[in-house]
Formats: sequence, structure tokens, C-alpha cells
Amino acid sequence: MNEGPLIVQSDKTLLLEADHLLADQCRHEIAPFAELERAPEHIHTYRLTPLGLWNARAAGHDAEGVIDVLLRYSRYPVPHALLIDVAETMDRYGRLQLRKHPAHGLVLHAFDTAVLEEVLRSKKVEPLVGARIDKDSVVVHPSERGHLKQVLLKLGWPADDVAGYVDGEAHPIALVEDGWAMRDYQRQAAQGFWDGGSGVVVLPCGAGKTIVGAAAMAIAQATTLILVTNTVAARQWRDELLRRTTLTEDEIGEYSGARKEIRPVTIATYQVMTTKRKGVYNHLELFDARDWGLIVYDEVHLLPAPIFRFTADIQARRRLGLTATLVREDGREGDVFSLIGPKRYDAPWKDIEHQGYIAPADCVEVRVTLDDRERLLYATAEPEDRYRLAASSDRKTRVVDALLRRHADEQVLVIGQYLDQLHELAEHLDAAVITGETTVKARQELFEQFRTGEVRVLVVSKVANFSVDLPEASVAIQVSGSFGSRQEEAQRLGRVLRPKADGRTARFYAVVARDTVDADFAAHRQRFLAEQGYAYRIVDADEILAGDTD
Amino acid sequence: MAGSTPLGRDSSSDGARKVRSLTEDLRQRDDIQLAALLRARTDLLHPVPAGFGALANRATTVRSLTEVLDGLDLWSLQVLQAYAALDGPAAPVELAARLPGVERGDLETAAALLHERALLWDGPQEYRVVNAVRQLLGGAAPVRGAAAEPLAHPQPHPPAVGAVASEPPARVARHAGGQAASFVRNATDLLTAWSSAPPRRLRAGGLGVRDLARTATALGQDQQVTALLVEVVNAAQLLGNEVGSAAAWCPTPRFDTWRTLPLAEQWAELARAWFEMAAVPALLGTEPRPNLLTWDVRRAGATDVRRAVLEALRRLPEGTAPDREQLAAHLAWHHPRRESALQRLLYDATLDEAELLGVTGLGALADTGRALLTTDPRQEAGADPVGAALVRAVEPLLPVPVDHVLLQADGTAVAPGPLVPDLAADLALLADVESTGGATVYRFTETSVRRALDAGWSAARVLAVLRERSRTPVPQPLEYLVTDLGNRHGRVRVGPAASYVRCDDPGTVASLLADRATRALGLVRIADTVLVSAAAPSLLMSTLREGGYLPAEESTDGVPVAQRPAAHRSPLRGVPGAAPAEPGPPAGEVVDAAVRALRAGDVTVGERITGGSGGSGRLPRSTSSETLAVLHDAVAAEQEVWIGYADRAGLTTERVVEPLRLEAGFLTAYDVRTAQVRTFTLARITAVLPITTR
Repeated sequence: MNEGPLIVQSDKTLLLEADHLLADQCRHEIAPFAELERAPEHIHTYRLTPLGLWNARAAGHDAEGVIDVLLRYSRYPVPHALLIDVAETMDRYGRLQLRKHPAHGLVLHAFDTAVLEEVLRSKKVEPLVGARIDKDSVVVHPSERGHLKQVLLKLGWPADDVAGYVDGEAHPIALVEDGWAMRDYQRQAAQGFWDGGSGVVVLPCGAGKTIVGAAAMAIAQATTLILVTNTVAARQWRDELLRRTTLTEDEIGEYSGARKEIRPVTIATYQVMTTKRKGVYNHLELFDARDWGLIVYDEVHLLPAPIFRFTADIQARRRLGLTATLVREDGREGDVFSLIGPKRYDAPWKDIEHQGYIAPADCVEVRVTLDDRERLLYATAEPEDRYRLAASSDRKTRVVDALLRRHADEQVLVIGQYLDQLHELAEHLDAAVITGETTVKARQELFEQFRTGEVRVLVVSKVANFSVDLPEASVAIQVSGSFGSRQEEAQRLGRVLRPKADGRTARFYAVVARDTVDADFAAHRQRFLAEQGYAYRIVDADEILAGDTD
Repeated sequence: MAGSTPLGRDSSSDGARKVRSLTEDLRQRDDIQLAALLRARTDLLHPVPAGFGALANRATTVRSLTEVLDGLDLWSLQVLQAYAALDGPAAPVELAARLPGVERGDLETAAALLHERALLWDGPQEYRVVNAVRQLLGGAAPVRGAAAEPLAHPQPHPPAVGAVASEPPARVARHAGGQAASFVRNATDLLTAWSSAPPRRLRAGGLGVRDLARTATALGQDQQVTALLVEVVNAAQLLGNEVGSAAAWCPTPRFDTWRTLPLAEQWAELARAWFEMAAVPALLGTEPRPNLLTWDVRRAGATDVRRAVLEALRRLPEGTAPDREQLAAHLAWHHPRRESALQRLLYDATLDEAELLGVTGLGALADTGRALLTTDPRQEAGADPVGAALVRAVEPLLPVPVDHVLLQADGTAVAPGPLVPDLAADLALLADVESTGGATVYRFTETSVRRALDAGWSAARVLAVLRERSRTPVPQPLEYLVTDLGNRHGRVRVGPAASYVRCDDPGTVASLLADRATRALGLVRIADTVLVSAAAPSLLMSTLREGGYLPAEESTDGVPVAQRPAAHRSPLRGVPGAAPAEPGPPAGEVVDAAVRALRAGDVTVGERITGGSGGSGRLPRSTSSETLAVLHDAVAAEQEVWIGYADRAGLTTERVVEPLRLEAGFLTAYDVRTAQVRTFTLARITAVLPITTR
């Protein structure tokens, strides 16, 4: 029997034996069409999904190739039904095409009249299209290009968008590679995006997504709108662009709560874009303020709904999504596919770690036991209060103390969800605290002091989840989180993954109250990282405290 | 004879005797020829005809002829039709005019076969058609000589079957093996799912469309595949339905033994069931949309078609996946009279089903299919060498069972192939299945590990099994989970108790426990100051009082319950509104009966005393023949007897009865105590003793 590295399951998952001789070769061949679901140490799980198969079609792979790869690497016979399903699914992509017509403008063209008939019968498609030109094409209102793509995807006939993009207002941008060099995967990611037109690049936190953005801008040579999660991230983008490209301060504008600058390169926050005044999102006009040649969405998995809606209207502009994970807690992965674009580049975290671009990490879950008083409180608490009670147990403070002593000469972030808990901790540890209430200026000062080593310990709330560049943080202690959010856990680990000057291993501690919902949420949060190959060790708080005394 | 050729004339002059009828033809055949006829037309054997006349008669009935004609291939039919169009004996070569472009050999072979089947007679140089055949074929009036119009397309040979693909046998085998394994797995999944949530059986019988759709979704299969699974497990007697108001489809006890068999044997049972089942699940997609598991999806010819299709595949070069159109034409040539739309559906269904079962691989017949063709439909399934051949054929194609798993830090275990049965059973207990296919992915959760602990496993045993069976080290989080659950499991203990005794003084508790008077209460000490008992609180109270203790009763929340002196009150329920009518004077027979009952009681007491049956007071058990004999005598003598009678619950009561009638397993007797005539089931009469002392 063929001893291939791959086992194809009937539920459309692919199991790849990581230690197999052919594993790497196989991984490269299946990566274009299968989505990595989890990558623990021995067997990696990939999943065949319609989105994944369509991503592959969009990248020019055909069903025969996919089936050939499956048959070639599979250890056991591949279920017949699965092969048929792959062929049928892939065949659905590109039967419809959005293209430019010399006389009618944007049209939906079908290579299969029956498919066109089928989708035109849908009530959802009807308002989005205009007159029928001939039996195979129908006029599409240019403003409905995005909506139509969303609807067609839901109908299972994703359209191939070859209508092209507006070039936008030209603006010279070039990378300045002095003292640093673009990494291979960053170059591939930027090029992959550009060749695909629009789409999403998936890279772990700390792998230099900003540089991928800068590289894409350098290829586009056009005015760019960058959407980021918050003001601190906006400033970091600006600093990074100033450092890595020919752009000058005058060319980069910040569009946030504090400032409203519109420049050839404008960095705006999701927050300001989604601020409503009198029920109207009046800042969304920024999308039309200039003839943007490129729109970059940072942390695309957090993209708020109004931005999705507006993005549907600007399908003629090139869009680049950057993210560490396509996991959306709200399950809108399909909208990312149809509105931002297919996944254009993806690299597993561990691969990049092996290349030395992100620090290796040791994840530890520390379990504390509630004392009798807390246990009683917990047992009698209303269900909605239970997580808060368990998460902000006083017992955690002692553990944080001990951990801080253990890492006495390292830069430590203490991350939590509840402000009371954070303030108490900060007071107890005599450390500075950053929350949503802290002014941007104060935040930046504190971050700077932390970077230089003046401040050793920072207590931060979820404002620091994203896009805060703190290269020297090597230890993170998480005392509470947003319930079971998997992407938050990934982001928080990302805070300590920037490669360290001395190649040190980063430490990520999650302090969890045992036998409570806190532990359940922790287990859920950890799944993403466990699936990415980060194994958690579990230790009892007593061990940490005992280690402290000797 | 008209139209006879010199050759024909030669033959008749050479023949020992002139054959004048079919009967005579049959009489002249030798034993081998007769045996061939009876083998080809088995209906003639039942019953064995009395003589050649009877045989000829039977062979020319419409019913028998229809059957034999239906079994003929196109060429034989064409030759037969050509003969039917002639009015006299003719040599096969004479048909060449009517069947142009055909070789003489083909004509002779066909004529010989038709003669063997007693559709032609006379011969062997010249043949005549049996008259009844001519009528049955409904041909025009016979034409003299060879002047008949030539037939447009004589087809002495079946149309060739082209290949859409030719696969190397190794690939065919591999593919068939994969399908075979997944078919068994799907069948197991289906039956397991229906074990816990059996779908309802429709009032008209069968399985509802919605239940089928739901099951298909649950299995992740399409409906057609699911329908096949359902019918095959039903045919294999792994599925049945409970009768009664809540009739539902669920696995039979056979499923429990079947699932422990090796994979190859499991498959062999399913494959055989499929090959021999009358159900055609593909009919589900046709109007008028019948329900599964009903007679509406059964077709008498289904088995024959499956065999015919597989036979046709076997005739192709090895590894050939046939062109379906051509295969259908080929099969139609073999049985032209059976051809219909249904037939075509059956061909396609058989090819689809064969692929799903692993009887074919990539469209070409696999060794499994070849083995299936050696099965004899008339042979009882089970203890037969053919089943063994089937198992032997499928075994090398199936993936080799593995005896290990790979444990991973994300809480999963991957079995990289089908597991050996004992490990599969262990894992089914320890973890939940997350994904099936060539491999199985299990996930360990708190619930799944607790399930094992509940089943009596210790944490140490769980870890030992994991360590022994995992190729990879047990990940720390899993080890922690198991150890942690092991420590916590059973910390809170639950047990049954109907009452408790508590007392602040452990000394008193200890003495209570030791007291002989309380032994019957089954007191158990669960703490220094607490005892529990399975006895009701009232019994506990009274026993303790009798033992000289001074118990106080308390309610569930610990408040003492004041004991009222025993002044019982009836609950309101059941009290009639109006006063009941005065009972009249008792009827004479009631009184008589009462007297008799009293006497009988007296008699029994006397018996007990004088019988000296060990003082237990119970009637000695009688054997059934004794019982019968005594009752017979009692009926004859009109004598009362004393019987022990077990009720439905198995409780034995003793009665005195006057037997009246004894028949068909029942005793009709007058029951003296209840003063009624009633029927007793003989089987439940445990003992009988004549009352003789009166």
C-alpha cells in the first residue's frame, strides 16, 4: 500500500503527517487549495472548503490538478464522492465573470447560460443587474459590483472579477532598504497580492505585515488609504512608512479622532470611520475624498460591518487585507472573500518561527485555585457575573507577583480585561497602567519608555491587543480576556513574538482560575494557538509560588 | 416435405425412426440431453412429469414458454423467429436467406440450443418450431419455404462493450478496497446513529423522506448513498423495527455481533446482502417517489440484473471500466425480452452501487466482485465456503488495521488507519470522534474522559493505555486533564437511601449499628453520626422503637415532625358522594360457595397438617404430566382440587377449584373462593393436589 503522508477524510479534512519524508513537498502542493485548520506537532489538519477551492481557482489551479495532488499523496484511497465534490465545486467558480464591456460598461458574463438563468431568477440578484444584453450577459450597475459578488457567492456561483481596477491618482513611493532587507515571504506576499488584483495576506503577528503593505504601495505607485484599528497603530504605521519608504511626513496624513488630515497616503482608524453623527457615517466619505489607487485594511478579521458595506461600493479600487488569522468570531469569512478578495498569501506561524523571523514562544497556563470565600461567591453568583468573578480572583495577584520575580530582568506586559482588576494590579505592582482612558500622548510616552527599558512592567487593557510594536517585550502575563476569543489570544501572543536581540524564547503566561468558566474560556482561546503548533503547558499556581520561595 | 433440401432428406432417411411430435422427440433424447433440458428449464421439474407426454405438455404451456423465452438472448430469438416464420422442417443453413450475412456455425449453434430447450423439435439436421411458440411470438402466418422477408439486423454476437478507461488491476483493487472500507464505516455510523435516535416507522411502513434527508446530512453523504446503506443493512438483517405504537427503525441484536467481526467479514455480509436483495434504492428518485424500506422499492428481477451486470463486467478484459451505453446494449442483447426503462435504471443503479460497495473499483470489476459472482443465491448465507471466499477476496484490499494512535497537544488523537478492535473500543470510551475516513481523529474532552472514569477506569489506567498505545509522548495538557479529573472524580459520592438516622453521639450510632434488632434494616454508616437505610422512615421508626430507642422523626429540612397518636384518616379521594345502596341479602349460590370455600380452606389446613410437607406450607411442585393426570381424574370424578397458580407477575397463589373442562392448554374450573367460573392457563399451574379427605 502506498505510504503517502496524507490521509483524506470523508468529512473533507486532510491529515498531513508532519514528520513524513514527503510532508514538506506535500504541504506546498496542498496549501493553494486547502486551508490549514490546525498544526499541532504530529498531524496537521487541512480542510477543503468551497472558499479554499475557489481561492485556488482564482489563483489558476484546476480541479484535475487538485485531484491529482490528493491521489498522489494520499495513503488510502480517496473517497470517490469527495473527488466528485471537489471537481463540481471548483467548476462553479468562473462560470460567471464580471468584466468590462466596450459599450455597456460593467457586465456579468456567463460561460454557461443555464447558470446565468439560475442566478437571474434569484430575487436577491434581480435589483443588482440591469438589462440583458444577449443570452450570456447582463448589465451590472457599477455601484453593485461588490453586492453582486456577495450574493453570487452565497448562491454558490462565485464570480471571477476581471473588470479591473482604476489606477487611482499616481504617487511615487519606493522602498528604502538601508540597514534592512525585505524578507522573501514578504516579497512573495506583496507580489502575490498584486498579481491577484485584490485579496488578503495572512501572516503571524510580528512577521512584518506593515512591510508587506509598504511593498504593495511601492508596486502600486499610487495614493493609498490605510485603515487600522486605533490611533496608536496609526502612528506606528506612519513611523514605519517613514523609516521604510521614500515617503516624507508631509505626504502621510492621519485621519483619526484627533486629526483629520487627507494626504496622498492617509491612515485612518476603524473607530473614526464608523463614528455616526445623527445616524450617518459621515466619515465614510473619506473613501471618495481622493482617487485612491490602493486601500489597505490592517487586521482585516476585525473589519467592522459599516466598512464592509462601504467596501462593497468601491470594488473598482485595489484592496489589500492584512491579518494574522482569517478566523472571525462573527463568521463573516465569506464577506472577506467576496469584498476584500481571496487569500493571496499564507504562511504557518511555525514556518516563520523556524526561519527566525519571529521569536519562539513558550506558552504556559497557570492554574490557580480559588480560596473558599471566592468559591462560595462564585457558586452563588449569577451566570453573567461568573466569568468576571473567576477572572479577577485575588489569587491571581500572588501568581503575577511570583512570575514577575521569576523574570526580574525582562520586559513584562500584564494584560487583562477588567479595569478594576488592572488598576488594583498596577497599584500592587507599582507599575504604570494603560487602558482606553489613557490619552494617546500618555500611551505613546509609556510605550516609548517601555521600549527603552525605563519602564519594565506595563499593565495594559485590550487597547494593546493590536498593532502595538513593543519589540523588547519578552514576557506576557494574561490575567483575563474577552471570554473565549481565539483571535485575541493570538494577538496577545503576537505582542511578545517580535524576534529578540539575543534570540531569547518569549514567554506567554495565562493565569486561569481552575474549575470555573475562566478555565473553559481559556481552553477555547488556546485552541487557535494549539492548532498553530503552540503547545500550552499547564502548571499549578503552587508550583510557581513554591519555585518562588527557593 | 415441403422446402426440404437434399440434406434434410438425407437426415430423415438416416434417422432410425420418424419423429412425429415433440413428445417423440423428447422420448428419443438420451439422458444427457434430457438433463440439459431440465437444467435449463427448471420449472419442468416441479413436479416431475409422469411421462414424456406430460413433459411435452408442460413444456408447451404459455407460462413455461414465457419463462424460457425471457431467458433467451437476441440471436436465439432471431433464429427462433425465423423458424416460426417457416411452415415446415428446415435445416439451419436454410435460414441464411432470412438472416443474411450470418455464418452457418452461428445458425447451427443457435438451432442446437433452441432444440435443447425444446423450442424446436425434430432434427438434428432439420428442425421444426413448437407450435405453441409460434403463437406466443405472435408472428404472421407461416410462410412456405425460405421466401420470407430477410431480417434487417441479425445479431449473432452481442455488441462489443468499449472501455471508457482501462485501469491497472492494482489501482482497481486499491480503489475497491477503499470503498469497501468506507462502506462498512458508513454502515456502522448509520446504525450507531439510529441506535441513539431511531427514526420513526411510517404508518404505511417504510422510512420517511425527511428522516432519510436528516440521516444523510448527519452522515455527510448524499441521499442516494444513504438510501443504499439503509437498504443494505436492512437486507443484512442488521436493521429492524420495533412493533407497537412507537414503531421505529433501529439496529437488531445482530448488529452487536456484526460490529465485532473483522472488517473483511463485516464487508462480506453487507456485500452478499446487497447482491441478493430485492430492494432497488435507486427507485427513490423516480415517480411516484416511493418510500425506502417498503415493497414499493423492491423489484423481483433486481438480483438477476445485478448478477447479469457483474457477469458482463467479468467478460471484459481485466481493469476495463465499460461505457455504460454500450454495456446496456450488451446486456439488452442477452435478455432482449426483459428490456424496459426499469431495466436500464437497474443497470445504472447496479454499476453505481457496485462502485460504492467496492465490488468494482474505478468502474472495473475487482476481485471482490469476482468472488461475489461465485456465490450461490440458493445457498444459505453464513456457514458457507463462498462467504469465506468473499472474505479472502476483500481482505488484501482493505487497509491494514493499526494498533497505535498519535497523541497531540491540542487534545486530539489521530489513528492513522482503521484501529484494531480492542483499541477502537477503548478510544470510543475515552474520546469523542471528530473526523472519520481513512484515519480517525479523536478528541479528548473533560466529558469524554469523565465517561471513562464513570465506566470504572482509573486515571492511572487511562494514562497507561494512552502511553502504551501512542507512538508519541502523552502531551502534558492531556496528562494534566486526566490526572486532574481522576483526582476530582468521585469526590462527591451519591448513593441510594430511603431514610437516615442521625445522632450527635457516635457511641449511640455505633450501638445502633451493632444492635441485633436493627439488623433487618440494613443500616450503613456514612459518617460518625449518620446512618442510612433502604427501609422506609416509618419502618425505621417502628423498628427502633421496638428496639427500645426513642427516635424522633424529622422532615426533609430537619424540623422535628410531631407524631400524632395513631388515629388514621382516609384521604378524601375515592369517597362516593351519595351513600351506597344497602346490599341485599346474599344470593343462595354465593352462600353455598362461601361454605364450600370455607370447607376447602379447612380441608387444606387439614392437608397441610396431615401432608407433613416439611412445615413450609407450600404446595409441592408437580410436573406437568402429573398436573394433567390429576386434573383429568378430577374432571372425571367431579372432584375438587387444590392448585398453586402463578399470576402474570410470577406470584403464586393457592386456590381450591372444581375442574369442569380441560382443553387446549386451559383448565376451566369453578373457583370456590371467588365463586366464579374462570379459565386457568395450564402452564401456570405450578402444583395440583386432589382433595380426597372430604
